[in-house]
Amino acid sequence: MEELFVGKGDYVIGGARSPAFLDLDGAKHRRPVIFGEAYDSLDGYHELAASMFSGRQTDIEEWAVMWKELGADGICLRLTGDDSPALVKRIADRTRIPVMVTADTDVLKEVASLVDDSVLILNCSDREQSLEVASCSNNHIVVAKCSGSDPEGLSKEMSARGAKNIMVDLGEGKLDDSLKGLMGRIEDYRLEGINGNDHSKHPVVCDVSPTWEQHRSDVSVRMATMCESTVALAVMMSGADVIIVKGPGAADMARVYGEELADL
Amino acid sequence: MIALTVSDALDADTAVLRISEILKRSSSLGVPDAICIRNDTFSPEPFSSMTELIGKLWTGTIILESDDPASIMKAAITVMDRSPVIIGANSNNLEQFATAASMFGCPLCVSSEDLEELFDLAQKAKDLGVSEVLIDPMMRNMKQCLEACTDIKRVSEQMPELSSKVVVRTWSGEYAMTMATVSLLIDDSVIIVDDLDRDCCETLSRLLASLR
Repeated sequence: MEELFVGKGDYVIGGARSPAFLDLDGAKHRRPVIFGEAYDSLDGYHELAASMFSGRQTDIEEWAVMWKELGADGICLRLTGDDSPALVKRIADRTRIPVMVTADTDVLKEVASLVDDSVLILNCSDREQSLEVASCSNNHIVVAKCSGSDPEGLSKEMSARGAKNIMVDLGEGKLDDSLKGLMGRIEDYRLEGINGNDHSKHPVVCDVSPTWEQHRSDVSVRMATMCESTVALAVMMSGADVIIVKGPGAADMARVYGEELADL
Repeated sequence: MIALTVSDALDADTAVLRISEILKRSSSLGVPDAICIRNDTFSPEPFSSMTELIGKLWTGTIILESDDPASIMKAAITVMDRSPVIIGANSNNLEQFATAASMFGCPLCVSSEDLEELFDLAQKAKDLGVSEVLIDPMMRNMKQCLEACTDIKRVSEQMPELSSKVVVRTWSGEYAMTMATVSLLIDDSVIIVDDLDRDCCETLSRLLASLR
C-alpha cells in the first residue's frame, strides 16, 4: 500500500504490506494514526463530549493544542467560518502536528493554496467535493469520500484531475449493523491493495466520531468512550490507517490498542 | 457466548448476590449468556455445591472450570441435564477429562499454548468419545489473541475437520472487554471473563448485535 507523508513530513501513514497487524503475514510494525476533532462552532456539538475539554473547546486553537497535549497524532478541524484558511495555517504552525480539514469547497481550495509548509489532509464531505478539490490540492492529501461509490473509480478520477496524494473514506464507523459492512469494505480494499491492485493502494481513513450520535441523552462519558473506542478497534483491525475520534478517552484507548497490536 | 465467572470460594449469600447481578445484566442486555463456575477452593464439595446452587438459579449455559477431574465429575452430576461445558483438560490429564465429558455428554475444552498440540489434543479428545471439543490457546493479551484466533480461523477454513470453537479466557474490566472484542471481531468465540461491569456488558452486547 502507498505511504503518505503528512504534517511537516515527520508523520508517515499507510505502507501496509499485510492484513492489519498480523505478524503471521509479516506485518509492518506501524499503528494507525489518531486524529481528534475540533470545531470552530459548538452549535449542535455533543454537550457531554464538550465537557471533556475543560472549557478549551470554546477556542478552536486552544482545543487543537489540547489535542496535542493529550497525545493525539493529528487534529481534524471542522470549520464553518470565513477566516478558516488563516486559522488552519496558524494551527498547523502552532501545533506542528498533522492537520486534517473539513470545510466548504472554497475554503478547502484556499487552504490548499495558502499552506505550503505542511502537508494537510483535505477531508472532503462527499464525492463531488472530492472531485472538485482534487483539481487544486497542490501537494496536500485529498480524501476520496466514497459514500457507497466505487473507491477505485473515484480515486482514478481524482488522480486524472490532478490529485497527487489520496486517502479513501469507505464510510463512517458506528456501533450498529453498518459496522460489519464497513469492516468488510476496508478489509477488501486493503487486500486488493496488498495483492497489487494499483487503484486500491491508498491509505484508508475512518471517522468513528458518529458513534456519539447513537446514544441516549443520559449516556455516561465512559459508555460513550467505550463504544467509540470499540469501533476504533474494529476499523483498525480491518485496516484503517487514520482514525478520527471525538473523545480524548477513545483517542487514548485507540492509540494504546494500535501500539499493542502493532507490537510497538 | 460470553460467560462471567463465579468462584466456588464465595459464601452462599455472596454467591446469590453475584448471581442476581449476573441475571440482571443478562436479562436486560443478553450479556452474559453463560456462567463459569471456577474451582478456586481446589476441593470437590464447595465446587459441587456452588454448581448445584447455580443450576437452580441460572437457566443459561453453565461452564465448569477445574484442574481436578474428580471435582468436575462431582459437580457435573448436579447439572447433568444441562450439558455443562468442561474446562481444565490439557496434555497431562486429557484421558480423565475426556472420560468425564463423554460420560455426561458434555462439551470439553482442551488447553495448550502450542497450536499444533492444541489441534492434536482436540483430535485425541474426539477419538476418546467427546462429542464436542472446544480449544483454548491460552492467550494472554490482545496481540496473542489476534494472531492465534486468526491462525485458528485460517486452519479451520482450510481443514474443516479440525474446526473447533475457540475459548478466550481472560480477567476483568476494560482490558478483558478488549480481548473479547478482538476475538469476536475475528470469529465467534466462547469468552470467559472473571468480571465485566454493566457498561462493558452493554458495549459487548451492542458489538454482538452489530456483527450478527
